[in-house]
Amino acid sequence: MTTTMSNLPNDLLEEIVSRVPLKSMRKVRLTCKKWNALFKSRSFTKMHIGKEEEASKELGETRMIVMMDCNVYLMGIIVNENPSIESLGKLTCLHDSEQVKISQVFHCEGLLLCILKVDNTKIVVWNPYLGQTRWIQTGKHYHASGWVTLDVYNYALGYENNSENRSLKILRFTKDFHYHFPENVALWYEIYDFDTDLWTTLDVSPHWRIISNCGLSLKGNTYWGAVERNASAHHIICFDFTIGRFGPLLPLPFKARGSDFVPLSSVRDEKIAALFRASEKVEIWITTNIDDAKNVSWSKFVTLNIPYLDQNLSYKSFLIDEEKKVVVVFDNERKVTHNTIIIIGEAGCLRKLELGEPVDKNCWPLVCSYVPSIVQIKQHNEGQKKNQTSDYGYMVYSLHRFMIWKLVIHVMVSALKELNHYHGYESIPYHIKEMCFRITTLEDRDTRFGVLKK
Amino acid sequence: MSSNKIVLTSSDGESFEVEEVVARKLQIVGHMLEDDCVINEIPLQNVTGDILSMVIEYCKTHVDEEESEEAQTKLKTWDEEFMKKFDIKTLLQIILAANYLNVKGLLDLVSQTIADTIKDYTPEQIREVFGVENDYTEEEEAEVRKENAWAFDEADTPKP
Repeated sequence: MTTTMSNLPNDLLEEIVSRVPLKSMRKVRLTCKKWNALFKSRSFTKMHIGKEEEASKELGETRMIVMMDCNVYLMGIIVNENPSIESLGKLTCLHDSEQVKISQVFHCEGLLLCILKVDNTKIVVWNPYLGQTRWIQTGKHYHASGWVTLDVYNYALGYENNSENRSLKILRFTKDFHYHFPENVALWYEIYDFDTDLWTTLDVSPHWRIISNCGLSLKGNTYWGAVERNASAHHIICFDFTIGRFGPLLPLPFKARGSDFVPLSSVRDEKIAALFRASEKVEIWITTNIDDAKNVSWSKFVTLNIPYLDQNLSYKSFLIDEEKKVVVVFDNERKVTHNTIIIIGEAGCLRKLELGEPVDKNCWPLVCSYVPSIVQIKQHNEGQKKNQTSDYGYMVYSLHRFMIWKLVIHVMVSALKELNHYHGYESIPYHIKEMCFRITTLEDRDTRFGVLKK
Repeated sequence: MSSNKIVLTSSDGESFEVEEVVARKLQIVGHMLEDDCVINEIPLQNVTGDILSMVIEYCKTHVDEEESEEAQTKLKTWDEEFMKKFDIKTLLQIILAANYLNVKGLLDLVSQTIADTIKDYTPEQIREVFGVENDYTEEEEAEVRKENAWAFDEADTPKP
């Protein structure tokens, strides 16, 4: 009998397939049933991921997910005397003549939440290792007139951490662009539950404003940089997916102001690193303790002399290598003309790698470390009475909200007229207009749902 | 170091006289020698002479694995060249032999070599080269394609 891969004993087949790199997994699964079935076996996937980790460890390589120019890549970075970066694959999509464009990526322990650039009616959660996806309808939208080029939503992917079976959730909320806004106006917070396939509106009345472009996922929860309204001191804040609430503002070890605060980065999925600028120098601090998202303490990791990092730190993304005391910063250099990776050690810049000019100037490069996950993404239950309850609840909520705001605006305009201060639309202060804008969008949406027809 | 000679006999009756240290690289032989240290001829039922000779060639080269970086690099180059000599069919026979004879290093080497080949092919080519039958129905294949619609692939990635 001739030896072929078909009659090879299972353990040898596993031995071979477990050495095939991640970027070839799709074709392995498409080869035949037996090969595809390997990925349904927990013992195989564990061995496979173990081999992958062993191989990158041997190379001294850190795996990371990089989003740039609306594409998502898996990359490996080796930081030594001669640092290098290797691309280990690019997100490609079958059934899609035009390659899918991603505008934002949110990471949680090997799972990615991807926001599409052109379609805002749905989002996708993807396990790159298992090749699994789940599409989620977002349904309701603000029409963010005036900010068409910006994503008006911020997202976070997390999980409830109180049971064996981790229940995945997505938090979505409207970004608050207004620095000087006195109080929260019609900001929208909702949470999606993978088990029930429903979006539920959260009642949040924040006295703070989230300033990070992208949150950092740690142990199922997500952290952002935040600032107290009407105050300039920076903090971090955590959304606890288990209780479904934001925690208190947590202190940062430095006094960051304005654009001098950078997003957060994780250290081995255990600690948070924060970067900030102090005149010509950049400091990186790491949490020494962070429990229950209520207490946090920090220690300084490194001070770097990198005067060439441009002013706006808030859109930069970074990774650190704790052992080697090295920082990797992803940047959009020279006023968004080039995506650049800068590898910086204590002695200064070790290497600068240019990754070309992005076609989309609004896409800021983003990086997070990546470890493959064998977590299955729960799929939609067939035949579930989905959306009905949520739509109904949503309509009642919207109507309620709409009536309140309608009343507020009515009272306000009446009062202005009474005081002879109403001189037409132009004279209305900006933040009042903003309020009107929010109401208009609610009205638009509710009309679509037929609530206000009566 | 012992200079004892051991005779290894293949399933088709071919005999190979090797030094004991080389024979011990085949863990199956190592175990036999520990159980009964007076044997000097060992029949190996599941491996043919031509494959056994290749396994022995590997073991001879890897007999004293030095720690030094230079020696390691040299061995690595030798491994690469060694693997280039074989087609897929032979590689599959070698992996079976390495498994049976329990030569861990060779098993790893051949597995990696085959895995590296897989990544260069399309699913159709993989089936052809490795003699794997496509047992998917059209619908099933469409379903797996759908399940794997999103994946990291080798497409034009930026080279820094």
